[in-house]
Amino acid sequence: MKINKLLVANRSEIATRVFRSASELGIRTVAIYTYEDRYALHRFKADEAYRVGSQGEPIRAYLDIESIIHVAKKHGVDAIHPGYGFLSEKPEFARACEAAGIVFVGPPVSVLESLGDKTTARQIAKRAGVPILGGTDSAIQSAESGLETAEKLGFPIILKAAHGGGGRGMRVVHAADEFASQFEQAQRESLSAFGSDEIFIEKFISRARHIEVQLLGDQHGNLLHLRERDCSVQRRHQKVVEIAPAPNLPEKVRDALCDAALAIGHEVGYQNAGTVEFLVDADTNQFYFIEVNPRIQVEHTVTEQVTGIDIVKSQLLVAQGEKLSSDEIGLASQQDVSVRGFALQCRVTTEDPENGFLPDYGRISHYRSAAGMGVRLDAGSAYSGAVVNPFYDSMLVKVTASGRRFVDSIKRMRRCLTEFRVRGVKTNVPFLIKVMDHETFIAGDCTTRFIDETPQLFKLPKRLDRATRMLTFLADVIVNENALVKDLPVAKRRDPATLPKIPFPEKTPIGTRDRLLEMGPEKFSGWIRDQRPLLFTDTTFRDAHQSLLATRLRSYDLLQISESYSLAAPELFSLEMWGGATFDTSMRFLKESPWDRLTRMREQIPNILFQMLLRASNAVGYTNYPDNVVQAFVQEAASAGIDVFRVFDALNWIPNMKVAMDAVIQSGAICEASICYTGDILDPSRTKYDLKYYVDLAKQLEKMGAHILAIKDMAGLCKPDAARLLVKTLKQEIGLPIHFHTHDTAGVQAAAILNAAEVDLDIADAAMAPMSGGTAQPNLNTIVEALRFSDRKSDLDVKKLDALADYWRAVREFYAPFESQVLPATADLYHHEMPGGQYTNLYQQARALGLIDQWSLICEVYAQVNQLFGNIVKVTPTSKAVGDMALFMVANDLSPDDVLSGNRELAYPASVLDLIGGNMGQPPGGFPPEVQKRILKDQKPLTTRPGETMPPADFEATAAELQVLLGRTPTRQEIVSSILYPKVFADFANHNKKYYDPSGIPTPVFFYGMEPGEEISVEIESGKTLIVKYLTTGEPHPDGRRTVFFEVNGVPRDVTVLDRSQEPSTPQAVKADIGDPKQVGSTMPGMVVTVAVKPGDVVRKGQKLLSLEAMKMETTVAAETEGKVSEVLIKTGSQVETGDLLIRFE
Amino acid sequence: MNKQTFDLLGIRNETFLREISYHDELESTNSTAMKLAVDDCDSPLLVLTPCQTSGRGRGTNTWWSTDGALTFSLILDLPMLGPERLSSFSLTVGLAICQTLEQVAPLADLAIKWPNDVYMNDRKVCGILIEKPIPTESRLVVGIGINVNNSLRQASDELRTAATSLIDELGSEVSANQILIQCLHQIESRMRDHVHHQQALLDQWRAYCLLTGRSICLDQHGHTISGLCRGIDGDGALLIDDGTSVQRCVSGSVTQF
Repeated sequence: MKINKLLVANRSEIATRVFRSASELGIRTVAIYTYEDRYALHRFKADEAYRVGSQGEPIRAYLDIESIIHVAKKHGVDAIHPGYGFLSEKPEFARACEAAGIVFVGPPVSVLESLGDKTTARQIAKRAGVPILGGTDSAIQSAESGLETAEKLGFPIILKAAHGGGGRGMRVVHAADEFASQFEQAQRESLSAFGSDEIFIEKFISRARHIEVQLLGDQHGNLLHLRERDCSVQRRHQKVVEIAPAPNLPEKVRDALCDAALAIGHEVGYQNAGTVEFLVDADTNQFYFIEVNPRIQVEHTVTEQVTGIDIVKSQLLVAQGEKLSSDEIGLASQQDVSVRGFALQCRVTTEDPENGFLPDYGRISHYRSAAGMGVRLDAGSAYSGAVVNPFYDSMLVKVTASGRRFVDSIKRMRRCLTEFRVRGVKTNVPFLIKVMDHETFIAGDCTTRFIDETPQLFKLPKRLDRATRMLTFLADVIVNENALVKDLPVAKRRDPATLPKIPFPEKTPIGTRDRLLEMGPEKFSGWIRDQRPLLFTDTTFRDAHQSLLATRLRSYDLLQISESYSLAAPELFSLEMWGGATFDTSMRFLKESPWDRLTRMREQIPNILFQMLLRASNAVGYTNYPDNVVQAFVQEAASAGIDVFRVFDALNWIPNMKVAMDAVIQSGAICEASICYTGDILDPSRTKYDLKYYVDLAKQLEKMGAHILAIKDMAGLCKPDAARLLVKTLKQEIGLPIHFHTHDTAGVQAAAILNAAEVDLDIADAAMAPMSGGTAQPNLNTIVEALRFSDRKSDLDVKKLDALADYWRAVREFYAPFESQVLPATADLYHHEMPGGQYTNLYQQARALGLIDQWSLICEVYAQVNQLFGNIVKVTPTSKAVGDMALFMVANDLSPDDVLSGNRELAYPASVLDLIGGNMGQPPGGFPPEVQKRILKDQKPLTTRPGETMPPADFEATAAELQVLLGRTPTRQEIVSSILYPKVFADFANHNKKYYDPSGIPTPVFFYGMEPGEEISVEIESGKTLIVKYLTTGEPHPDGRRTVFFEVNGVPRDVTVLDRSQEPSTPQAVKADIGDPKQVGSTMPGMVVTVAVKPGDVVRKGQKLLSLEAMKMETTVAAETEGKVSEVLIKTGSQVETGDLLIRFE
Repeated sequence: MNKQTFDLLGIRNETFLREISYHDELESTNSTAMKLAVDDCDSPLLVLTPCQTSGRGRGTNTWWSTDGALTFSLILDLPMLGPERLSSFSLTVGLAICQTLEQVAPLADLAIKWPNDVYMNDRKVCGILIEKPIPTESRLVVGIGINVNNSLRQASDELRTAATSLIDELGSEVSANQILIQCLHQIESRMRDHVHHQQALLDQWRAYCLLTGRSICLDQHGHTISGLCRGIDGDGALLIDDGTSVQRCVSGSVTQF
C-alpha cells in the first residue's frame, strides 16, 4: 500500500529528519506540536501541522495515543512514524494505529511486545544462541555453590550485597582461588552494613565497549544488517559520541556480532529498522547481548553516512510493503551493504559540563552553525532567538562528520565544533572538543567508563564571548549614558579624526630608540651632547592632556596616530606618553589597561624613545611605596617598552630618589634625574632656592649615575633669563645633557626654551600646537619653525609636524566635556608658584566648593601656606597638600596666625598631615617645628625615608588574591598594578569581566553611545574585527531592563541591560537601630507568619510579638523588655530581611 | 503489621546520642521534644515512639502516620550559627535522609524537595519538621517521619500517587531499628559538614534538589511566585526564575512542581 500522507508522532530533529525522507518519496507530511512547541522548527518543516494537548502538557500531549490517532484520522493520514522515545516502543500505540487502519512505521506489535520485556528478550537471545550477561537470580547458598556458578559465568565476576548500594558489599573476584575468602568477606560486610548476608553473583566486565548492530528487514522475511556502531563514549548511560564503524574491532568479532544480531532478528521475525545492543569485553572481545531497540535511533546518521543507505526512507518503503531488493531500496543481499570511511556523531546539547551537565534553559541570543564539506547537521530548534525550555531534552543539533580514516573524521568534527557559536545558553561544545582531543578517543580505545575516568575532559578553557561583552557595554552606554560625561558639556564631533596622509617608506626610519639600542645609555648620553640641532620631546601623549583635558585621552586616539609618528617624526628625541596621572586615570575612568596602551604603542612606534614620568618612591601613585614595589614597577615598565624614566622627588629630596634611580639604571633604561624648579634665581632676595642650590643638586644626581639631567619647571616659573642662566651654569658645572621641561601657564615659556637653546640646551619639552599653551607645554610646531634659521635648527619637518597637529585638533573636539575654563595666569603666578596641572584642578575644586569668586584670595593663601610650610617645592603630591590647606583655610576663614596660635582645634586634611608628618620626605631645611607641632599635635613626625621602614609588599599574597578575582594566574604587571591601586584595579578587572576591553571603541561612541543606524568596527584582536551596527532599543520590560538590538558582522544580535532610570522605586525597608532597645529588628530573612501584638498593647518581657518562617522553620520574636507597642511595621505575609525594623515601642 | 521493636541500648551505644526518651505511645514526638528542650536537658537527645497518635506536620498539615512508620525527634545543639545557617538545616537533614535511604534502596531516586521533604522515585517518603524551642539559642528540635513498613497500598488514590514507603518500593520489610541507626550516623556527619564544610554541603544540596529545572509555584501566604527553579543558593534559599529575573525565596510552600 503506497503511503500518501505521513504523520510523525514526535518532535524536534527526528520529526524533521523523517519529513525530509518522506518529501523525497513524494509523501505529504504532517507534524503535531504542543503549545510549548508552537515555535519549534519541526512544525514549519511539515506540509501541515496540528496542535495537540492543551497548554501545560508539554510531554503528555506527545504520549496521548487517542488524540494523535484522532488528529491522524481527521486529516486523512495513512501512516505514522513514531521517531524515537515517546510512543516509539509502545505496542499499544502500534495496535491503535492498526485498529485505525493506519500503517505504523516500525516492527509488528508482536515483535514490540516480545522485545519490550527484558526477560523475554533475554530468552530470545538465549534461544538464538547469543551470549547474555549472566548472573544468579537468587542469593548464593554457600561458597561452594557460588564458586560453581562463578566458574560457569567465567571470571572475573562481581559479588553484590542483595540489599547493598553505594559500592558497599561489592567485590570483584578475578580467579577461582580468591573466591571463598572474598565471598566470606562480602557476606560479613553486607551483614554489618545492611543486616543481611545475602549475596548475588554477576559477570563482571571491567572494560566494556558498547557496540550495536543496525538491522533492516522487510515484510517478506528478508533481514540484513547495516554493520555496527560504537557508542562507548557515554555519560551515565547517555550516549555522547557515536562512531561507525567501530574502530579497532577485529573482523572476526565484528562478523560474530553482526551474525548474532541477525540471529536474534530472525528468531522474532524482525521487520523494519531496529538495533541490537551488545557489551563487548575490551580485553577478551567476548560479547554479551543487552537489548533490542525496535525503532530508529538517534545515532542512525553515522550508519547512513558510511553505508550510503537512507534508513528512514527504507523504513517507509518497507512499511509500504516493498522488498529490500526493490529498486528504491536496492539491497538484494548482504553483499550490497558496504562501508566507506568513518563517521562520527556528536550531540550538541545545552548542558553545562562545568555544572554536572545540568541542562541550561533560556533564549539563544546568537547561533552560528558549522557547515562545509563532510558535515551533516540534524538540528532541532537551533537558531538565534530560539527558546530552549526545560520540558524537553536539551539537544540542539546532531553533528555528523565523515572522513576517509577515523582520524580524518575526528579532525573534521573538531573543526565543525569550533565553528559553532552559541550564546545565551551554555552548551557542551567545549567538552566535546576536549573529547575529540583526547588521545584515548583518537586511538579508538574508549570504553563505557571513559568519561567517568577522565577528569581532564572537564578542564575546559574559559569562553571569551567577546562580542556579547562588547555589545553589553555599547548597550549600557546607549541606555544609561557614560557616567564619565554626565552633566558635562557635550562634544559635538562624531566624525573620526582624519589621519595625515604620509607616504609609507620602505622601512621605518631610524630614530632615537634605534640609537639607544645600539649604543646603550652611557654612550647615548654622549651622543645627545654632540647633537647640534635642538632635540624635542613631544608631551602630547601625556603631560599636555593631563594639563588640559584631565588626563582623559583614550588609547584609541593615541594609537590611531601612532604609526604616523614613527614615519613622520623619527627625529623627535622622545614621546612622553606614560606615567604621571595616566596610569591611574586609564584604569579608573577609561577602563583600559595602561600596560596595554604601552605595549600597543610600542608595536606601532618601534623607532622613537618612549618616556615616562616616575614620581620616585611614589612611582605612579600618590603615596610612598615599599622599595620592592618601586623596583618591580620599574622593571616591568622597562621591559614593556619605556626607554627614558624621568625621576623626580616632590621635595627634591635625594634619598627618596635613590631607590628609583638605581632600579632604572639596573633595568638598562635611561635615567633622567630631575631637579624641580621653584622660586626665582634672578631675585637676589630669594635665597633658599638659588643657583647654587640647583647646581649642588645636579652634581649629586650626576654622581648617582643619571644619564640626563631634567629641569622640571612644573609651574612655569623659570623665566626666560633664568632659563638661560640656569642652563648655562649647569652646562659648565656638570657633564650631563640637559632636558628642559616647562609649562606655559605664564604664556612666555617659548622664550625660555629659545634662550636656553642659545646656551646649548640639549632637549626641550613641547606639545603639538592644538594641545599646547596654557597649563600645557609651549607650542612645538611654532618653536621648531622659530629655530629654522638659527644654528639650533631642528631636523624635524615642520610640514609633517603640522599634519600631525591637525589630527590632534580634531581629537581635542572629542574631549570637549573635559576642557577646563582657565584664564591665562597673571604675574601673580610667580608669587603663588602653583604647578600647571594643579592650576586647573584647584580652579575646578574652588568652583565646586563655591569659592570661585575668591580665586585670587585662594592664590594668595596658597602662597601663604607655602611660606607657612617653610617654602617648599610644590609638585604632586606636595602641591596637593598645599592646595588642600589653602582651600581649607579659605573655607574656614583662617589666617596663618590662626594656625600658629593654636586657639582653634582643627582637623587638618589628610594630605596635610602626610606632608607635615614627613611621609612624603624632607624639604631642604625641614618643616618649621612650630607648624609641625600645631598640625601634628602629639604625633611624632617621620625624619627618615618612608620606604626604609615599610615592610616589603607581599607579591605572592596579591597574586593569590588576583587569582580569585581574575579566575586565572595574574601577570606581574597586574600584580604591580593591584599593589599600587588595589581598589581601582579590582573595579577595572570586574568591569572588563562584564564588558570586555572598551579601548577599541571610537571615542564619541565610548562617551555618548551609538546612534541608530550607525556602524562601527572594533578590532578585538589582530585580524579579528567586529562590525557593529546599532538598530534600535526596545521598550522597558516590567523589571526595568531594555533590549538593545544590533547587527554584528551583518547578523542580528541583541543584549538586555538594566535601564537605571527605570529602576523600580520600591521603598527601601526601614532598618532597625541595633542600639535602640525601643526598636525590634528581624534576626533573619523570612516571612512573617503570625503577628501577636497591635499598637497600644502592653507587653511583658519575653512575650511573643510575632513569628517568622524561613524554610519551614518558625522563629518566635519575643519582647526583650516590657513596654507599650507604638507601631507594627509588618503584617502577616510580609517578607523581611535581616535587620528590618518590625515593631517599635513607645 | 507488627509493632516496631527497637534495641535502645544498641542505638545509644552505636550513635552520638546522649539520651533516649522512649515512649510506647506518644501524641507527637516533636511536642514532647519541644517540652524537654526548654529544660536544661542533655543533647543530642532522641524522642522515639513506635506509635505516634497525632504527629504534627507544619501548620495544619498532619503527618500521615500509622504503625510501621519510623517517627522520632532529635534535640540538637548546633554551635552558634547565624539565623540563615540555622534555617537551612532542614536541607542538611534532608540530605542525611536521602543518603540513608540510598543505602537501603540503591536503585531508587532520592531527592530533597525544598525545604523539608524527601522524595523517593518522585513520591514523598519522609517529612522533616524543625522547630526552635528557645528563640535566642541555636538549639533545634528536628522531627523526622519516614514511611518504612507502613504500606500505602491500602491508602486513598490521592495519597498513593503522592507518597510512598520503603516496603512498597522494596517489596520487603526493612528493619526500622537499622534505618534509625543509619539515619543518626548520617545526621551526625552532615551536621558536622553544616558547621564546618558549608561549600561541600551546598554542592550536595544542589545535587539532590528535586525542583531544579522544574516549573514550580511557590505560595507565600497567598502570594504566588511561579517560574523555573534555578536551584538553591548558598544560604539555602530557593531560586525561581520568573522569566524576567531570578527571585530568591526563603519562605513559602511549593504547591506545584
